[in-house]
Amino acid sequence: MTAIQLLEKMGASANADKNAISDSDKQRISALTNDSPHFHAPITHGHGEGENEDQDDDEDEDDSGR
Amino acid sequence: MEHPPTKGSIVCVGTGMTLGAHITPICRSHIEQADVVFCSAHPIIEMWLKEMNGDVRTLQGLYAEGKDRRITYREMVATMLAEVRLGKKVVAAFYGHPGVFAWAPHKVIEEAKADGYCAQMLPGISAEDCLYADLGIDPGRVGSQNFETSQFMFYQRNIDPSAYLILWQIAIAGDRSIARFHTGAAYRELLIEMLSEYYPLDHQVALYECPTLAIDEARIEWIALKDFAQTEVSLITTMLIPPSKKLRKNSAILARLAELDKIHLQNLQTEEK
Repeated sequence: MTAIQLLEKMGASANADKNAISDSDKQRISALTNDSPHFHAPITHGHGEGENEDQDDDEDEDDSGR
Repeated sequence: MEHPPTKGSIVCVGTGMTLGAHITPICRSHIEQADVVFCSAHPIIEMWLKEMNGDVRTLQGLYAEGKDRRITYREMVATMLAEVRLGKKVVAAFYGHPGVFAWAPHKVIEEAKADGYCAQMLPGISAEDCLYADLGIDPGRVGSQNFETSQFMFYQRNIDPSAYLILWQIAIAGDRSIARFHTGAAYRELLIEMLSEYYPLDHQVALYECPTLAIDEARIEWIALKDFAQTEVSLITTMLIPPSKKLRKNSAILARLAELDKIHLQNLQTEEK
């Protein structure tokens, strides 16, 4: 079982006990976390959802704060 | 279009927040059957998706510090649409819910449909869903207001302090450039100043982060509003502000409703006769 499969199983199981993970599994999971590149979470922006470029520009003109 | 394309499609799916715990069977099925899967999620989630499909491509590389995120989002849309136009069955997997606080999934579906392709969105478990469960909040109890923090700061909004207020992406509060991954204490001080119009400075607020892995705990940290500027936050931190005021009855409307009830009762009695 890969470390990802182990994590998937833990995520999906009502009986998962994170305190029962073996040291070797902990190391494998830790290696995954350490090797992961930075995660850029924001997938929306401050203007508001679903606006197109023209609306953005219009709002810039209307909004002296921007 | 004169000749609507018969091939090529896109489905935007959500992976949920916690690996293995939240993905729906239909989202997983689309991922497994796709010709290509684009992904905007935590790198470990991405590794997980690679076990479901042999062609998983990350969209995370389109981000860059100092780069306007609106450009990034448009590049995401263009990248996904290019494969749809090649006639491929495309799936775009976004962390959480693909349509919540996410610009590109809505846009790519809109543009694909406009070009005559099949396009749809399937929901996933969002950070908001997890917040309600982990913090024991029912948004139906007194109502709930959700704002992207910067948008909240840029525009004049009316806050109801008798309802919950949830502020998203607080780590980049007040980022006018839409290009930073973090703003800072001075920006958050300004946010506190705005909020202090509605809430006392010692009002307790929660900082919440949903875990990506089942082995991790959710972050639930209660702090005084005034301490927020000095508290560590990340790109996935959300702020929950509980109500500071009690609900106030709308006596005028309640009186009018009582009149309507009286008429309704009279009509019922007339019908019975």
